[in-house]
Amino acid sequence: MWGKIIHWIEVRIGLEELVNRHLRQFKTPKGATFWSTLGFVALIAFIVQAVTGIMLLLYYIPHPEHAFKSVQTITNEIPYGWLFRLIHNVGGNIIVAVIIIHMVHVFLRVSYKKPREITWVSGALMFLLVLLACITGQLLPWHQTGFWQTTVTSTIPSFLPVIGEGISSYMRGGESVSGITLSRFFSFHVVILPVFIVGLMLLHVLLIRRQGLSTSPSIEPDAADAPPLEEFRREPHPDGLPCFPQFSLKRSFMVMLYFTVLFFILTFFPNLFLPPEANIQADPLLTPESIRPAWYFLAPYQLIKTIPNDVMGISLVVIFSLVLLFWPFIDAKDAGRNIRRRPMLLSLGLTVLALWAIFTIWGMYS
Amino acid sequence: MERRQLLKSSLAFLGTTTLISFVYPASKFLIPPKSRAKETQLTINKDEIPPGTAKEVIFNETPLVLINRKGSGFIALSRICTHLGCLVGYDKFNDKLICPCHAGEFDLEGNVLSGPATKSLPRYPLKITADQITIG
Repeated sequence: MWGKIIHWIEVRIGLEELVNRHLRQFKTPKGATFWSTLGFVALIAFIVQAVTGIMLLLYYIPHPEHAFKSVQTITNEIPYGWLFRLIHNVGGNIIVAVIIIHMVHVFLRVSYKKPREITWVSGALMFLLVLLACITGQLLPWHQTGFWQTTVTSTIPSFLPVIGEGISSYMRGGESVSGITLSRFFSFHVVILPVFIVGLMLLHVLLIRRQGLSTSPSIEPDAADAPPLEEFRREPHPDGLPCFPQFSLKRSFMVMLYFTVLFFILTFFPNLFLPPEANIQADPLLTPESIRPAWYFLAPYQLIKTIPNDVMGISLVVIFSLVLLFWPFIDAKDAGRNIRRRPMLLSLGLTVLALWAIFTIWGMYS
Repeated sequence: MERRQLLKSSLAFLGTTTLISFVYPASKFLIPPKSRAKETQLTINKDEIPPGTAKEVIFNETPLVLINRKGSGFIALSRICTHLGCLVGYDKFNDKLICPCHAGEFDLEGNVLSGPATKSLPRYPLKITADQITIG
């Protein structure tokens, strides 16, 4: 019976041929490790966010008078509502962590070099859009934490001369955070940002499929020995292993690890990303005693706090974002991909990581 | 059992378990919560509804019509048409209730007169005192 169903589908869709062409014939390079699967894990994490987000939409009401109550209803009254809300909440934090580790790995492997500049830019842009999705998502439950985090976040751009006030006003849809802000953030969080993220994701995956996965720099010959790249050349990795089943097993393992982390946090630390103020309805006339941004914004938050000149602090964050986005064009010289032979690049990468960690911890306890 | 077969069976088992673990809470999640509206009584002054008129009220989240029938006294009927759920309205000129969606007609006892509906409109118990009418 089962075989007949499979055959019926096979005759009409040709799944076997599809798997052969896109997975068995797609070779992964030698040295493709578990780290190389993090992009795929981020994709799965995004799908989890999309599915749980759509489910929450069934009961969520994007109105200042109803938003908080509707989220409380989802959490406390709808069967398994707490589960889907927590998966969405915790998953949103894990996806950021996965993308950061993925980007650090790509940086350390120097995989952004020609011809993969667009792949890096699309990935970095996706990262920034995911962060925007996090910012817009935090306001939707209309609790004290989200409301005041949004107030602070939307005030920061106003320090910039000339355009600052305009950006703040555009974000809020007025002078202060209100129902209009909620409507704006809702449409950005639910429609606009996901559409752009999916578009970039398609471009990112298309480029990877067209160019092939990048080889580990420890295996790849030095740039000096390789012929200059003047026309499109796919890396077929004829001596590599097929994507399916070998590399797919690594992917499956990492996806299971992702779910393990997700459910571990859900089980043992369900309120890790929900401070006590997240259980209080937003009050525009009462700022809670301690309002901190999410962990991934602690470093820029502390940086802006530390530098006495607000304009300089914000400018530094903007410059860092632009450098991150266009890094392949900044490090464009033909210097080979083995970072161990590029002590300056390695030191720069490790310094930025160390500073990011220091500012994050500092921000957490300041 | 061969190793490959064991692996396949294990994967099928784990896959099915995972799928059920998601589908079960997801299907429960889709069931709307029960209304928390308390069963309360609704009291109306008699003089608000002179003979030959009706008053539309909401009773425990259900739209009702309270009719003061000439010679037959008060009656409370659900306004939800038993055909497809549109709300019926009181036609004081012809002493009947009419559904605007598919022209279903009911008499002032709630019985079907004509149209696609086959069931009568549900009737609600009333307590009538000298000055007031209480529904429920």
